Amino acid sequence: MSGPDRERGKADAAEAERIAQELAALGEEPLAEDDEALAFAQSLAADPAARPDIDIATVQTLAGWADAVPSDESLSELAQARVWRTIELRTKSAEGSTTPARSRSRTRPVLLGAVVALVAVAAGFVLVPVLSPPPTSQTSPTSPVAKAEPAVTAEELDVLSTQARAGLAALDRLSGEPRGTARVEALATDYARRLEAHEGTPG
Amino acid sequence: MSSNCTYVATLAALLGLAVVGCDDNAGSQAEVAGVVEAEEASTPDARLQTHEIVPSTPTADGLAYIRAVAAIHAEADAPADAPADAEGSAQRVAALQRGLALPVPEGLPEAEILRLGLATRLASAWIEGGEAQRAQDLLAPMLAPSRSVPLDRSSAEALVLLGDAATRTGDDALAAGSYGRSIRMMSILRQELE
Repeated sequence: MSGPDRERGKADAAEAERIAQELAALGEEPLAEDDEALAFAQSLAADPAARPDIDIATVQTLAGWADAVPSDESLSELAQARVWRTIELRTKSAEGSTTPARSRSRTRPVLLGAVVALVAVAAGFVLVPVLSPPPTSQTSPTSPVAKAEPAVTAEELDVLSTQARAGLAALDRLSGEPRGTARVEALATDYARRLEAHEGTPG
Repeated sequence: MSSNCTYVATLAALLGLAVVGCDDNAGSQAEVAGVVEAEEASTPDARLQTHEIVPSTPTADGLAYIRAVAAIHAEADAPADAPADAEGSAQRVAALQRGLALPVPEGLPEAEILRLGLATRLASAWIEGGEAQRAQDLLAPMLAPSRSVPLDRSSAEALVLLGDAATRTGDDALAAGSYGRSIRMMSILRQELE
């Protein structure tokens, strides 16, 4: 084994130990080495752009929940990748706007909220995420209200929009019904048929 | 499935509340109250109340209305060889506005779906024309979370358009709430189809 490989092996072992401790603190079972959610969480932590204080066990647990939720075709790997990509983007943006002294206490709940919100949306449910105040509600930078942190970014809204459009397309594929003008014309035809049948009914 | 999903949704909601409540560096109570107040003010309203559109007893007036709406849609469809110029866009918008102004005959619940379809096309045209606020003002009352909306594709599409309009006007809460409601609506519709 080469020097760099040995170093990487030590780092992996230390990381595994840290994860085990986090899981123990959460009361979770130890993870199998081939756990996909763990692999994902580790890859997120290994990303140089990710926060150094990212809670691997929490991300792993949430990823596990996402996999456990019964899904339809809109819950593809691609859809889940979009969610996690958004989390990455959010992490990057939070890094640039938060001081190190407060980063762990403030960013972890927000990151956790974002993860849960997006997982819930991907599962077809609506979570009430905490959003950034609209421009009109901003006050002076020193007021308490101004300290409410933005919690939904443009990227996250973009993910929601993409999910909504994908859902619409999937619904159209599933129903096979006409859209737009054709749908209204089909409705008119069906209504006319029913009217004719109704008028032909005695009594 | 429902128990799993209920579990996840409940857990998600609880953790979402934790986002508001677990900042251990918050200062005075007034400061915390200010933050919470600001967050509540910008929290999306994700309520979704739906109702089924049950086919009504057909009437001649009902048929005339549906056919009139179909004619409006056809008029708003841009011919394949027509240039997408401002004049053509204005004509389509005018046609759709006429469609929304059509008096709805009594006893025609299907009209709710038809009006949503017209409003969605009109909102789309306004958004494309840079009038997102106008689109939002049109759709928001029709799709208000406090109102029940038809369980139909037209509602889901209208909610997506409302999300688009709100995104452009900077109303993040309305945008997120609308997208979320549309996703939930489509989830219900898909379950019915499967």
